[in-house]
Amino acid sequence: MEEKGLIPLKVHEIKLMSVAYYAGEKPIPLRGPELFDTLKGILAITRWERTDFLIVDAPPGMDEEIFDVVNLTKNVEFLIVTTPNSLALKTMGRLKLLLEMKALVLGTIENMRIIDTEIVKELAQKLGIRYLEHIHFDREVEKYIDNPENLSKTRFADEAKSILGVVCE
Amino acid sequence: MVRSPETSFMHEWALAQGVISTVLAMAKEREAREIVEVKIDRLQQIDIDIFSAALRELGGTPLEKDESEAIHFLPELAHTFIRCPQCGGPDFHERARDVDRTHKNFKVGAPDPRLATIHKWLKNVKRVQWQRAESEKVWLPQLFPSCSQNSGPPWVYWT
Repeated sequence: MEEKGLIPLKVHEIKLMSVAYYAGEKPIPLRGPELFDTLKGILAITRWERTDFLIVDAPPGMDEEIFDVVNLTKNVEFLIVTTPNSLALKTMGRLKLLLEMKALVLGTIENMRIIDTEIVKELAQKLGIRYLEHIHFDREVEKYIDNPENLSKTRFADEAKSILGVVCE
Repeated sequence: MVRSPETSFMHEWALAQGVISTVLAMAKEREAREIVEVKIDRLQQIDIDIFSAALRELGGTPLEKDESEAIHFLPELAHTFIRCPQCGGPDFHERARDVDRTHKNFKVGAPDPRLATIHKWLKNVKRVQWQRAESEKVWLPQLFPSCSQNSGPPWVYWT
């Protein structure tokens, strides 16, 4: 088993792997180079087998994890998820760097929308990034965060599903 | 000869390190499974309290099985489970990998064979020992695998 890698956890046909599985509730204080080694380690030692997509959930912003993912993986595509919040949008604006790096950006998803606003769509257009859709703020998500079965029945799940359908085309 | 406190401190710690290294070497040579008692003859100009503390700290910090396994797979998790004996913090220097960071043929999903070698060395990590660098003010951990085949600490965590 160790020579061949770790089998990821599977929840509803989605394989998951995270360093948090090993650390539990404890913090993982890492300095810069250690982040790269950890990311590389997780990617290398996990037996993903055949997958349609490998999704790397990166922290907000343009940190070195982004560069690591670009360097370590072929055919990487970026999906930007933002909230319609001024600080988040400032960060989204800086992701223009991805375009300068000639990275493929699938588009942007507006998450946790509370009021009707075009602010995210306008920024996406300004950056030359496709605006995919928005997902409304759904209080049920917090309630069912530990319950995938019920989570999949929320409005959030329905909206996310339709957006992913567009992404996968 | 009057020694400064700093010199005295280093003397006891260096002596403790020497005692532990010698005992471990002898234990390995004799294929001992457990070290029950170490008898130390009269010591001159040794601060017993400092020496005892050094023996305790350098004697190793036992790890839980799941902590050991976590570090085995991801050595960076040493920062999650281990704390500096001096300041109690997680900010220490460690280097667990000897993998070329610029390696271009790295493939996602394909276990890096070099990692398998590294994992063998870190297999059964049971205890953590600390060594104070002469030139640094930080504590640097050495992870000692418990494997009896080990001829010495394979990884020296160093700046």
